[in-house]
Amino acid sequence: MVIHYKCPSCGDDMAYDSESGTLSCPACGRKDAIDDFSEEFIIATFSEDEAKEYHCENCGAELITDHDTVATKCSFCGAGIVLRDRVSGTLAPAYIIPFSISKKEAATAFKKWCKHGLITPRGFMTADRIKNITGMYVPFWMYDLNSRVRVRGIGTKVRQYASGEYIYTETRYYRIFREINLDYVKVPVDASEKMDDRLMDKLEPYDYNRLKEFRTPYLAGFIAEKYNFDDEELLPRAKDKIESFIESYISSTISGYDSFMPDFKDIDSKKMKSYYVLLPVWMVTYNYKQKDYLFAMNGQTGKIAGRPPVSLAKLVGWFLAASGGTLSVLRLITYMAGGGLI
Amino acid sequence: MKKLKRFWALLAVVAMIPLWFLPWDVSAAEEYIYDRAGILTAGERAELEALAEKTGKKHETDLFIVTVNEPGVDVKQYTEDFYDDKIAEKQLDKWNVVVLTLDMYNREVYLAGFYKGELYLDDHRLDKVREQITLDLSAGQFARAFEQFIAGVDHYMSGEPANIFFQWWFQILLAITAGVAVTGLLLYQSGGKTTVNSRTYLDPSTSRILARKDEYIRSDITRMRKPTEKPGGGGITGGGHSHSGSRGSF
Repeated sequence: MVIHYKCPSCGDDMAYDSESGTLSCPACGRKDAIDDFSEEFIIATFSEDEAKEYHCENCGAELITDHDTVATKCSFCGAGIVLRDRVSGTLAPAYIIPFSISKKEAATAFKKWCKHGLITPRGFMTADRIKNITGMYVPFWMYDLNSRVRVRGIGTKVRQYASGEYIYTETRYYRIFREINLDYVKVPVDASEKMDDRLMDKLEPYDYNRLKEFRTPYLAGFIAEKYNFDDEELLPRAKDKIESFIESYISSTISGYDSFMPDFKDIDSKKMKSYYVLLPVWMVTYNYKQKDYLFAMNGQTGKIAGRPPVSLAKLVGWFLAASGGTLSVLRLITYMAGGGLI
Repeated sequence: MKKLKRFWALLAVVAMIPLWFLPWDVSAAEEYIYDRAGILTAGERAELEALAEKTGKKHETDLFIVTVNEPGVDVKQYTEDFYDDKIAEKQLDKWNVVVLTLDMYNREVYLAGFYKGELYLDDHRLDKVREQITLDLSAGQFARAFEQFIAGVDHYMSGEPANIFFQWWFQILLAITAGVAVTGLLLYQSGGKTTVNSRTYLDPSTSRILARKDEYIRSDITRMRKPTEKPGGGGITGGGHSHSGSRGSF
């Protein structure tokens, strides 16, 4: 089933506008609040791999989508459409963070970012060759995790003092035990097969104050995907993500010691809740010297991730500046101390 | 780019600093050989005088040879007092000097380096020079020993300062390390920095320590004899001038 958002005034296709946070009509300028736009969800059971044919209700064209697509644009008439049965039932997202950055702002911000690259080639910085910029809602699982930590070990405090002819080193040993309760809330893990996990991780954090209950109109005009992995499959990744956080919390509770050797450590992390959410990402394809570079921008905060090309000349320049600078400073210090300058 | 500009500005300021400190107060003395014990012939003395002056001028450091033959002399103290007297006489703040003091009464020798002399001749290098001349001193070949002393000073002062921090190879190594660190950091950060920390997702209202125990078990004490300071090493004169030194008998 296909959903269109028709402008109640003029009948044109409406799309989500990130600046006003409303459904807006490009033809007549009408804006409608998303909460007021009537919608009725039918919780349908269906097989998600089932081959489906969709027809654009606007122009009647057959829509060819891959089976992960949730929202897209009709390639014939350009109307933003949502494939409703792919965002309902078990596939219905609980929350969504709408885009705060419009396509134009994204393009400007990206160009600005390119110019700030300290080791990107000059040509790349000025080429201004954004090939494609696509607003995309990427499926994420967010986990509320509870970790119960128990650590036991030996800590030492070392003190040195001199008395008479001798230097004494006193080592005091302590038996240390900690039981810690840790709650990590809404840890996001990207659930799309197509997205590079590391790229998505770098876009964090999102501002959860703007987390909204999911409504289909937010998708109008953007591309969206449904998840490829369910919350159980991705739980290990979420636990991985908080592992280093837990370790740093543990060490923060064992302060005042010169060393700590754990002999027992038990970290039990459990999933308390998981939510299926859609997070906004601008995907930017940039062409430089016949090669495409892919960047991702957080559609809410504007943070950019992705590997730009590296200019060897600039890298060498930085190396020479850093080593040359260090060497000159060292020689000056030598000179000041009374040694030779060269 | 802004960072780069700041870097050069800083470098320029650093480059100015030596102007406030330098140059070292250098002043050629009129006399370098103080043969108070009278062990040198007039010819030897004149020869050494010329050699000391020439070598000293080359390195902007005055070379002194002092001999003494009196009871109750501590050769190190005597050297320090000699320096303090001379510098007061010349009314200098800092004075680059290398001194050899020969105590004929106790048959002891002391070598000391002040300022630039200390920079190029630390305790270890002075030890080496002293070891080289001890045989000649024992044999009574004083003039030859003093000549060797001047040659030893010339050798070390023509090279690099004694501390590796002031030596080229070490500084180049440090510079390369800095270059690798900077480029490595730039490369690492070019893909976007990670801006999530251990508190981003932590719920502080419920995360806490439930139970803790810090129980003292025992302590142990190890003792180590204080490293005895080598009596022949450097020190500070009564006038507050630090110096390197090497002391020995012959």
